[in-house]
Amino acid sequence: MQQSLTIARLVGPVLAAIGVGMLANETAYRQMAAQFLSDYPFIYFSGILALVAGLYIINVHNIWTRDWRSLITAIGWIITCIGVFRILAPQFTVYVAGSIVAMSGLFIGAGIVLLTLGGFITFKGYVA
Amino acid sequence: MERSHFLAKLIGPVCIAGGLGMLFNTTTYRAMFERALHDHMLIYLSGVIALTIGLAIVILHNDWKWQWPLIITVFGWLAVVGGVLRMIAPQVVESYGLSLLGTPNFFIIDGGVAVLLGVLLSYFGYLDPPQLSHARRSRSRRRR
Repeated sequence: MQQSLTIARLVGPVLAAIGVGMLANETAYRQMAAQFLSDYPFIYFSGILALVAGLYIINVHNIWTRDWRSLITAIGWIITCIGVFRILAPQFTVYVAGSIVAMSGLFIGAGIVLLTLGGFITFKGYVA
Repeated sequence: MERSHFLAKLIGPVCIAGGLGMLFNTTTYRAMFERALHDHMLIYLSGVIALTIGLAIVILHNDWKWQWPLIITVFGWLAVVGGVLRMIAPQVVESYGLSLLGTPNFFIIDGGVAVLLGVLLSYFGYLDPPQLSHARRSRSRRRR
């Protein structure tokens, strides 16, 4: 349980901050995403960081119970898969993410999802 | 030993993914590395990350016994030296890296070594956990 709380205290606020950023600063985020996707080295470095972070989470916390802790494990697996994908094929990341970023309401929708998820995990980590 | 296994679980798959990328996605990797080597800020940032990760490894794991965990210690020290060099002199890293990229079969050799190292570390990390190693060692001692 202690391990879940520690990871929740780290992951929750980061997700919530990204969510708030997307909602409050959509134009800058769209420009940032376009710049990120035009540069393979950024995609590669972010892939290495994501893979290390994801592997860390699933190695210390591979819990699939019927409560909020499964969310942490799922986030770990998602980050690991994203990291592998970015390292193996940065050009496909550009292709996939480019079409996703082109959607008009993406940042509002993703911002709401991330803020809700991050807020919930932060609440579980710090308060509950 | 517990710590060696944990670090092997993190480093092994990263080496495999990077190595497979080098072997099977050579064109994109060449373009990516050339672009990264011309950007001093990116070299500097990768140096900060490499130095931090390297220092964490050598502080937690400075094991010089002639066994597989030695790979992790050497990896940590290489990350420290590489990180310091990138932070102090990005232009040297740029010229050295570009000359390395110019050597024939660079990605095949580098990718092959990375995949081999990654497979070795992943094997020790995931398939040879400490309790299994202890059991094997005590069994072989009993046989003697």
